[in-house]
Amino acid sequence: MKSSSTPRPPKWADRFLEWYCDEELVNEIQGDLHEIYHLRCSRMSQVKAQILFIWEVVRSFKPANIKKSNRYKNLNYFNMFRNNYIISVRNLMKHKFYSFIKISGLAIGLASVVLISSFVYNELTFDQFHTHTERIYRFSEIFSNEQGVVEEKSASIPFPFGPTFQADYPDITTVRLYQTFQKTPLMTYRDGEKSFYEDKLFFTDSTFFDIFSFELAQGNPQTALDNPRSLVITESMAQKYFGDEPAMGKTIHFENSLALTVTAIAKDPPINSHFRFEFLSTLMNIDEVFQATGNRFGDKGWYWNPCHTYALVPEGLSQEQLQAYVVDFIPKYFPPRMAPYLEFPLQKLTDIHLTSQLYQEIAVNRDYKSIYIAVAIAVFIIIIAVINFMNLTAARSSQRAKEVAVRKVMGSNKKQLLDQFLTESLLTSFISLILAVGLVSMLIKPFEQITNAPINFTILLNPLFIGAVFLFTLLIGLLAGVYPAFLVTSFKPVDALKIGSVKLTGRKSPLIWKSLVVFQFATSIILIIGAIVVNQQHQFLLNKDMGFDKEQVVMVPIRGTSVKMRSEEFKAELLKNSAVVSASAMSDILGNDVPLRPFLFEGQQQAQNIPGLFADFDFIKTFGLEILEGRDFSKDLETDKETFIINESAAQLWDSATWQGKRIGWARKGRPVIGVVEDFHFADLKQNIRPFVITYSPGWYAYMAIRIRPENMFQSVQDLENVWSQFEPGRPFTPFFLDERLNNIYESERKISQMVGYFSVISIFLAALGLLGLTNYSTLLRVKEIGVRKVLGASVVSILRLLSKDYAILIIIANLLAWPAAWYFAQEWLANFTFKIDLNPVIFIIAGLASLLLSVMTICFQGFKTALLNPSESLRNE
Amino acid sequence: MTKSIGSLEEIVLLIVIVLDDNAYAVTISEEYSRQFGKSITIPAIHTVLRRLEEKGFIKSRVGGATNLRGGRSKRYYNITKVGYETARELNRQRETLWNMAPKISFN
Repeated sequence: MKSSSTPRPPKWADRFLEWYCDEELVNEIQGDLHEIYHLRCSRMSQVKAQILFIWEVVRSFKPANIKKSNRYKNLNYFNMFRNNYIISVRNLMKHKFYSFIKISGLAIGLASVVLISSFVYNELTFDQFHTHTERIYRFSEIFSNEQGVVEEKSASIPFPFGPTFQADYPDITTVRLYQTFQKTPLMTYRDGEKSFYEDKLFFTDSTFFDIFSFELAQGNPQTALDNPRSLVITESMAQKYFGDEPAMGKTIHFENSLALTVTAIAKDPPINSHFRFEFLSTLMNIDEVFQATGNRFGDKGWYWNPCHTYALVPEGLSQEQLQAYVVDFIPKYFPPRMAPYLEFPLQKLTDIHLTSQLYQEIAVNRDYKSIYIAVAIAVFIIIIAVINFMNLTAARSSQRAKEVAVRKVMGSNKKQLLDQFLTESLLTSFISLILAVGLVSMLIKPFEQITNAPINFTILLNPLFIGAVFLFTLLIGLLAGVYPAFLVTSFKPVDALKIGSVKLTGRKSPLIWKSLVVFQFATSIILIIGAIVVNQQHQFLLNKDMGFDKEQVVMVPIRGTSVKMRSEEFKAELLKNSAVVSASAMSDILGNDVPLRPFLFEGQQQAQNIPGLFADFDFIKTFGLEILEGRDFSKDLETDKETFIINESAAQLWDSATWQGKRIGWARKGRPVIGVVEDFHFADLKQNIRPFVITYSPGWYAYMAIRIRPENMFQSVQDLENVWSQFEPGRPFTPFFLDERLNNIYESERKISQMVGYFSVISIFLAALGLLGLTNYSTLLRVKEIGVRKVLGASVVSILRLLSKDYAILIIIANLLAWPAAWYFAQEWLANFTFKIDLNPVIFIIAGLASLLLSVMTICFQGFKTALLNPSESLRNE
Repeated sequence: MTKSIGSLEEIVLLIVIVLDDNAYAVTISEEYSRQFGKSITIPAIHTVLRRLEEKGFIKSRVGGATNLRGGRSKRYYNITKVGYETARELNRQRETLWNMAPKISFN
């Protein structure tokens, strides 16, 4: 047949065939394919013949035809993997102790990282789920006085602001949130006889769902809040009140008077929202709400600022422009006396959770500092755990030098050896991962407690997150396997098979290992010192003398009840019980905070905002306060109902002369000051003691403070309840102990103290594990040396001393490094507090001694075994 | 005693007998298309031939190279005794059955 003019079949298909096909068969197959190609070319179009050629090349790509070595390589690979896996498992079991250390260390590290990173991610993504989140701002209010001194920064602003602003700027939508925060309302489902106090009830405008993107499970967001009596409840609340019955259309009574109808059911708000509501109703009810909660001073004007107000701006409107609108707005509507002293800075919605620490935040916000601390802790722990993991893997691998040597001699190449080690370390790291998952599920509750926030499962179970954790574990496994693998596989087999084992790292561990151990201990020591400092500061806050007696005081909320108006009768009944020492009605929780109110001091031009408490005549007595000058209120003097008692700092406001006979203006009347009480902490310890006044005004009473005797407190509280039901049979009795409530203020410090405490324990545990592994390794290397020493007459104790000397020095270095760093961090943190402890050097010494002790124990535990070995055994191989 | 055999294998076996000394993948493929009007890919034929050889019905030898194949050798297949007997037996059984069948006319 013709040759040069014969068309050739497609070259690349041909080459592909040559590449994969087994040498024995390629000739025939290729020949057949070429022959039929040419035959086809004469019958059909060349293109078709080419297509068929390609198709047949592809179809010939079968196991039967593939090059034998390739095929065997695949098979072999599979077998080798199986072999590796079996060997890895055997190795793990053989050295259970090491394996346990490695795996548990890494598991703890992984679990901590998982928990902390889900926490951090949650905190950083607050309020981002709203569709319009970029364009939502909150108005805040700053009150200053004439001197320009800022008196209050508030997260909430007056009622009329929102709607008036929206009327002036129709492009902008506003919404208000109002809570009856002075009194937790009672919500009752009459038919089901379910009645609970609910503090997550918000009254809002019908624009709520236009601005915020909370999902509704049932109901229409456009109309859910149109009716004045509408009530939107969350799915959890529907479950709580109505069980499995449909909730739509049912009626819940607010404070047993206002009937609200369920118009929609919302999905529970996401965890990363700066406010999480359980009930929503409308502000159209506000007058009735005031009435129902006994709030006679509810002011819908421009003075009182109880509403959290938000604005949604249209695209393109910048924050500066909005701020400019606000600046124009203020003088138009606020009373001229107030307007110059007010500012309304805007806050971006997404900034609120981490940067806003104003008065009257809806929920406790966090700050960036805690996030940094959390991230730092996670990084420390995982670094320590990974270092341990790698160290121990490397330490062990030198002991397997003989095994590696034998393999080499039997012909395995570098890649196969590497595979062996990698399989083993990957296996270990994945076992750690499984263990870590178990740990995480066990630690959820304690972790939620420490961070004071529920865990966001949508993040934890997010496939991306899980994938990232998986990859991370993979990475660690690879890293940990690669380093020692390279070390071990690179020497000559001959050396390893000699009687002495391979001195992988020499008699003393190399610098890099030593510095790693130092680093581990240093960070652990910093954490321990931190834990001690935080704990001390917390204890200090709890135990600091507030200046008044806060123990054994039962506080009973009385706002909106008949007891408020009949407080003297109520007290009289209480005092019939010998367990009751004294009682006093008052307007606020002493030691928590006392709100600012305007008081006009005689001789001053303007009223000042000063913390003012309204209490009855038994107040000073009940709290064990000392009158320094003048006198206490006296029951016998009716005129004392129109007098003031002030504290020392207030008295100093009249810089000249004394306070005697001076008057303070309140409620349009001047009242004389009759006495000066010692300065005490009427607000929490985060604030300095400011000027403070007390006067009589029963309309403001919110609590009855009852001092009871320490004996039989439980019985006493029961008795109190009996008296309560005489006055208010229908209402639940909800007392609390004042000192417990005050301790809760320092909740965040307590949490931090716990958090740092836990993590310092974890990190020292990991560091100890690391030291254990390391000493084990180096002790093993010195077995012979120790044997010789024993033969020469050394005692067990002297050998232990010898072994620990090396490492003790390391620990001392770690301490020296840690102390300055810990001191710096502690100072930084303590600077947040107005009242704080002094840093006691004893703390540092204790931490140092503890770490030294721990490490010596660890080393001895390890060295003991070796020191006790019979020299004849250890010197056997020589 | 007869090993099981698929219908394509049977046909290929017959063709190998028919083509006598000239049976290899290409000629078998050509004969098949001539007889049945359908075509089979070369690799498919290779597979069948390999199976038949494994079962011992045919045997192979490497033969002449031609230009058309770019100078590559061919693998020829011949029928074995076992193969021949199997083929004969199968066909006989089929014929017997067919003779027993009534001649139906569908008008």
